[in-house]
Amino acid sequence: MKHTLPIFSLLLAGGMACAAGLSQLTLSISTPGPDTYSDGQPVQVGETYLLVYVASGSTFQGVRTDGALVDPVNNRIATTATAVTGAKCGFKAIQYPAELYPAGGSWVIVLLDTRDASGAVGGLVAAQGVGESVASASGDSTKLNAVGAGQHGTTLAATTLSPAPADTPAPVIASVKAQGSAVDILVENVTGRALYEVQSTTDLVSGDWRPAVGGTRLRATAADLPVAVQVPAGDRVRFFRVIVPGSN
Amino acid sequence: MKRISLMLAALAVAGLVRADIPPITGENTVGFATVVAPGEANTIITVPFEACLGGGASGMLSDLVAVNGLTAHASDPALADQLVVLVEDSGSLYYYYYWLKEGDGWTAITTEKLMPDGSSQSVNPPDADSFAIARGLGFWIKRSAASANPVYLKGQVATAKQSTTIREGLNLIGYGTVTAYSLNDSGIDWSGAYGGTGNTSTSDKIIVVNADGSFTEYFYFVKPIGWPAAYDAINNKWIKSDYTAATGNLPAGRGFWYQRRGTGSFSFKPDGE
Repeated sequence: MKHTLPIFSLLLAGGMACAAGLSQLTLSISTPGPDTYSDGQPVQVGETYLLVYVASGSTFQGVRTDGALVDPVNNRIATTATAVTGAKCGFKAIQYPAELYPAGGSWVIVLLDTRDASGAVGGLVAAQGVGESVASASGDSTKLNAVGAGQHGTTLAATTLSPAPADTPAPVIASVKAQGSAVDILVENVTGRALYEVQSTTDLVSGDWRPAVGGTRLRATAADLPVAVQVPAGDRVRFFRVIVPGSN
Repeated sequence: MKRISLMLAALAVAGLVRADIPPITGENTVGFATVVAPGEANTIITVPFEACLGGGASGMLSDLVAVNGLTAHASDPALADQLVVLVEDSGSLYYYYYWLKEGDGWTAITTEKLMPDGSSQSVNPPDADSFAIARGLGFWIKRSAASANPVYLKGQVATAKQSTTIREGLNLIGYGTVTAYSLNDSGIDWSGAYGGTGNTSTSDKIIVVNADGSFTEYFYFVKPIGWPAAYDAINNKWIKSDYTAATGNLPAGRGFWYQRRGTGSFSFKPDGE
C-alpha cells in the first residue's frame, strides 16, 4: 500500500503534465567551417544557409533550383542565414512558438550553392549540402538547443545537385553560329527557374559530353537564352547540347 | 622618569578617546560569487546580488556578470561566450542573446521571432548596461570553448528580500543567496509551491542541470490526507522520484528550472515576507 497510491495517481495524471511547458522555444544555428562548394572552393561571404524543419517520419528531400522545397509538406524552411568570413554559417538565433515546429521532427542546416555564371552568390540554387539532423524540442524542453554548432571537426559541402522545378520543359537549341573560337548558341523553351548547361563533344559515338567554356550555370532572363561559349580554335567538328543539371 | 610617566598617561588618554569614536561604515557591501560553468556547455546561473556597484541602481546585466576569464571574440558570436536570458514582456516570452565581444563586453544579438503565420519579427534586446536583472532570475551562460575559468557574478549584497514570480509552466529562476544551500533548508520559504496529489507527476518540479548536461529532478511533496505516517518526514519538502528527501547542496549562483504545475502563479519569497 505504501507506494501503490503514488504510482496509481501518476498513471492517472500522466496526460495532464504535458501542458505545463514553454510557449516559445529558441534555437541557434552556426557552423564551425570552413564549408565548401562541390569544386572545393570555400563558401563565399553572403552565401545562403537554410534552417529546415523536417516533420516526424520524414527526411529532408532537398531544394530545387528556384529555392522551393522538393517536399513542402514535410519540409519547411524556418529561417535563412548567411555565410561570414571563415567560410561558415554566421551565428543566428531564432525563437518560435512551440507548436509551430512540434517535437518528434528534426532540424537540418542546409548549405546552398547560389553562385551564378560569374561566380557571384545570389543566383539559383545549383547545389546543396545537408548537415546532421538534430531532434526538434518540445515545449517541455529545458535545453538551449543549437543546430550545426556541435559539428566540430566536420564541415558542410554543397555537393548535391539541385533538381529543377517539376514543370521545367526540355530545352531546345534554336540556332548555332560558329566564328573562330567563339560559338553563339540560342536556346529556346527555357524557364527562369532552372539552370542550364551547354555541353559539347567532338565524338558523338563516345558520348563524352563536357561542359563548354562559358556554358555553365546559365539562367534565362527572357523567353530564350543566348549563350556564347568558347571552343578550341581549329575545331573541325563539334557538337552541342543543352541540359538541365540535376534532372537529366 | 616623571616625563615618561606623563607621556604614557597622555597616550592612554588618547587611546581612550580613539576607542570612543565610532567607525564610518560604508553604505554598501559588495561581493562576488564564482559559478562553475564547464566549457562547451550551457549552465543556468542566477545572480545573488541586486545592484550596480556604487550607484545602487538596479543591477544591470553587464555589471552583474563579470567578463574576466571568459572567452571573447572580435567578430563571431559563435566563438564567444554568450548569455541567454528568458524574459516575459506583456505576456510574451522573449529570448535575449548577448555575446562577449572583444573590447565591448556583453553585446546584444538581434534575434528572429518566427510567427505562426509564417512572418517574422526582429527581437532587439536592450543593451546589457541598461538591462536590469532581478535577483532570482535564472539565465544561461553558453561557454564556447573549453575553459576551467569560473564565472564571476558580482554586485551589491542584497538588502531587500527576494520575490520572484513563478508562473504556470516552466520558469527559469534561482535562489539569490551568496552561500550554497539545500532545497530543504529550513530557512527557505517555499510557500505557494504545489504538492499535487502526492505523486510526482502533478506536483511542482525543480529541474537542476548538472555539469555533464544531465538533469536532476526534485518534486514538491505535500502529504495527502489519509496517507501513512511514514510520509510525515517528507511532508512539505522537495523529494526525489523515490520519495526520499532531496539532499545535497546547490552552489550559490546556480539557477534551475521550476515547473509550476499548480494553478496560477505565486511569488517565490525564499527569505519570507
